[in-house]
Amino acid sequence: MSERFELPAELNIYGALETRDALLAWVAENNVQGSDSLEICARNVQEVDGSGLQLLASLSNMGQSWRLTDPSDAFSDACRTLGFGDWLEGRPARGKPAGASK
Amino acid sequence: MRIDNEPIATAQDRGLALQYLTYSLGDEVFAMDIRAVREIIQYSAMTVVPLMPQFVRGVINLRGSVVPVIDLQSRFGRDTARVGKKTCIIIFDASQAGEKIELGLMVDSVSEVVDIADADIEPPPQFGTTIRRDFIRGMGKLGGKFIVILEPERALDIEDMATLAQHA
Amino acid sequence: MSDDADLDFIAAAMPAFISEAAEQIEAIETLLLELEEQPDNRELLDSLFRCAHTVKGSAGIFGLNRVVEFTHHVETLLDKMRDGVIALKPEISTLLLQCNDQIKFLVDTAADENADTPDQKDARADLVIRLKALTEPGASIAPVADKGGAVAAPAVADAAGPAGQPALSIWSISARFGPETFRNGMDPLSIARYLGTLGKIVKVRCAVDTLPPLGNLDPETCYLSFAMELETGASREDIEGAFSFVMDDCELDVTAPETAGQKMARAIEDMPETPRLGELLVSVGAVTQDKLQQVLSTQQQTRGMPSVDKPKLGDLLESQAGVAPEVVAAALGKQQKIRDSAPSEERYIRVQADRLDAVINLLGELVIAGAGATLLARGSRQVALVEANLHMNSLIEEIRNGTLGLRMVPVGETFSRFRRVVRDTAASLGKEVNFEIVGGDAELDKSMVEKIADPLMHLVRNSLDHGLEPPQERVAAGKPAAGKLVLSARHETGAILIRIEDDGRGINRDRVLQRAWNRGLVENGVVPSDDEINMLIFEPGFSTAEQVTNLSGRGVGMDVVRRNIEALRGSIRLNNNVGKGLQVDIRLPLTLAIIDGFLVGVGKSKFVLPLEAVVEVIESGGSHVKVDERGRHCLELRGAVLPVVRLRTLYSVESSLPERVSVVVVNSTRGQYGIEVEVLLGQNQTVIKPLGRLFKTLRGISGSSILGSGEVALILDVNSLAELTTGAQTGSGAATSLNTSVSS
Repeated sequence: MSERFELPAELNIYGALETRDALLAWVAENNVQGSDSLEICARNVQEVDGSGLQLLASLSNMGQSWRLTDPSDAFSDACRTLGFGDWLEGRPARGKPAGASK
Repeated sequence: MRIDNEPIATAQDRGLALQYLTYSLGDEVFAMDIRAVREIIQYSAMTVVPLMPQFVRGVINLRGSVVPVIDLQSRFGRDTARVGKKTCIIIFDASQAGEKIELGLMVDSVSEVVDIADADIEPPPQFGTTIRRDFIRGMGKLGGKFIVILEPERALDIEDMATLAQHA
Repeated sequence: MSDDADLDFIAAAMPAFISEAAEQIEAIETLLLELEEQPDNRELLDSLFRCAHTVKGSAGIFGLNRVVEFTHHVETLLDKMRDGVIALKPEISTLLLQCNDQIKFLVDTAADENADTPDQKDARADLVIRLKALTEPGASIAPVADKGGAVAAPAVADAAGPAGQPALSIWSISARFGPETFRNGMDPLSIARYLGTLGKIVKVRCAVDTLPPLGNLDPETCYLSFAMELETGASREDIEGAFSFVMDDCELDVTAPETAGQKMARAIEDMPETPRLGELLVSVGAVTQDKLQQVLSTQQQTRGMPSVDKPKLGDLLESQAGVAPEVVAAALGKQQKIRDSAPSEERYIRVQADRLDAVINLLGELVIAGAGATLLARGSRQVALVEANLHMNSLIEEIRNGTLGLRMVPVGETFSRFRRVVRDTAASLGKEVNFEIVGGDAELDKSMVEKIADPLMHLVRNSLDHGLEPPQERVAAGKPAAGKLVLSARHETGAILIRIEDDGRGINRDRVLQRAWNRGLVENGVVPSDDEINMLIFEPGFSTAEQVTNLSGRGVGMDVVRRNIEALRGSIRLNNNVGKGLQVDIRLPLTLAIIDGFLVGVGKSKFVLPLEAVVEVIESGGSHVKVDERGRHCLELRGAVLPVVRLRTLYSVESSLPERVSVVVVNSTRGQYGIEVEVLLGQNQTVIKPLGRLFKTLRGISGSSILGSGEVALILDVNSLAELTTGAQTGSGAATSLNTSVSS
């Protein structure tokens, strides 16, 4: 049984700190409970920016597996634009640093 | 003699007692909030500005600034002050509406700086003083006596004085 | 995160932000008004976008969310306009002007939450709705298709690129964003989005390798970088332009698939510095050293030829050494760039006004000290010393001219602000107006310019409101439908003349007179001169407007205008042409000047006459002053009779009468007249010290000055002195003493 985390309507720099704290707390709680895959729901997301997406990417980077559910249009759009299209494919995102070409 | 002013904030922070400069006109003692006082200088030669009312004594050269000097006694409607040995000019900050203005006040003599607590200040009396009530900020109790604390913003309101000049 | 030191810093920097933002906001308004005339001007649109973007960015640094949020919406619209997706129409122009006002409000009240009233919030929300209505789907293209897979549909109108279908190539863009990116108000996502509008994002990947675990992450620090392949016809400049605001903080690499020649050309671009064309090319491998030598020797041989026939090095390199033309072009371009970028781009330095004032005050004291030194030098009678002093004084004079100039700003800057007011006001009144600004580069001291703005605004509004007629009325009167309103400035000696002129109805003399009678301003039945009737409109409590319009009627009367101008020691005059128009002349002295003066003494007082007004000096001329049949003093000079002012009696100077008195003949706006004085003290350079508001009603004196001796002398205003005398002669005013003493 996986718990859902509802991403806020404004997933941007203005609420980044709050969202991070909430997310962190939720993740910690769920890990204690031993859930293996966390569900993060993005249906409420209306405004999103790099800092918001960064929070989720950080989850991936630290090896926490999670799954995106029910993304809003705004959220999907943002993911695709910035290169997080993987998340939209419903596969649990595993922590792996994507190589940057230089 | 020059008095260094602390920025207004700190004086207020110190609590309810403010410092006042006391001075005399004749045998009456007056007080003025020290925060506005810039310096005190000896009476010196003044340039008379013609066509001005009697209480505008003239202007002086204060280190390159031309500062008008008001005869406080005359301003209070009394005779023009006579220049005595202890006559001095109090230079104070009369800034209004953001415009920095300095005025000189001619007084018979200057005494000490005293602390007067807010609690020791009474409102100006309804009658009895020969000075216009609105020129007085309050009556400060000092050593058993009352001294008149001037309200410079009214007593030395530049617009007021300028208007009087028009009809001089 | 931010500790007190940060907060202090921000508080200290806030005024700078507000003043710089204010400049951007002003620029936005000017640009918008210019754009109305040239809606297709791409450069204006770009500048406009940049201004808004700058405001948003800086506001972001200060955490001013309201500003950032609102400006963001405006920016979105501007962006679409920049891309050609939305065209500028009058309604959009008006909307943007209103938005700019709102931005101004937000910036001004940035520090004060309480200033944001519910009304303002509503107005703002309304503007956002209107902005979104234009920018959201329906009116334009969604930048990203939401069908799975395809990312970033290309814009339908050829965005950002040159018109006509350019060849599409795939660019590789990789950007590593610096940690401050978010704090600087920027967002990699929106940059990526913008790139998407330039073409088609074929591939994009976001790298998060520097991203720490969520617990250690600072949400406001940016750890992102992305790598993208973009298929577009846009130029490198356009692509790099997307990153212009993060350039400082971001590692950017934009690579185009290119030919070898292009690659070389780019290598040339990237080089730090290489002056000589040949070396440039050799170092990028475009030509071998040997080949270069060959080309150079060919060039040498042509040395003797006339330059028209001489082959250019670039051409030789192309033809002889087979260097690709684009490489040569890049090399030549690089050379040019190095030469051009040498002089500084900075044309202005921002200076704190206080510091400038302090310097100018010191300069004033220097002039006085110099005068004192000159006196002493003369007294010493040592030639070398006197000469050294003269030299020093002339240097001081040069410095004075330069420094005074620093505080002067062209009035045109202030005048330009009026364009907006005129536009809006005329529109709301249903009037057509051609507004012209003449002589905007006339300069005035900065503080005076600020103080004159409000009175001028009032007068301009007055013209629009009461002066200029509605189009039908104008046509009926045989005038062009559009009214003419001219705001002009020009220098006269020692003063500046600002004129507001319209071709409207002028002042209705009869109505004004009637009103004056009704209000008791003039005794019933008494008819003053036309000039005096015109000036009645400046009396407090006077208004002949049939309705008190909310523009110029409400208590902010003409009397306040006159008071403000007089506070600057200026004067206001009206030139009324009933039915044809009104001319309002405002004269302001250049009070903060150092002028050349002529010093005179009367009794124990010293007075200064502006040298430029002095025509001649008649020593002992006092003996020629006579009294005419009306009791006025006058002097006959080469056939003309000049009125004479006796300073002694005018100013009730007390002291014993000297034996000889002289007369100084001066020029004034009322003609020539003589001033009787007692001692002639010669020329001197004078720092004008304003006397201050206390003396504002004082007539005949325009300021004071500190002499080398430390004394204060009063500077005579020859124009108002002239008026004073005529006033005295008609029996009004203070100088009735003029009539008493007759003997000279």
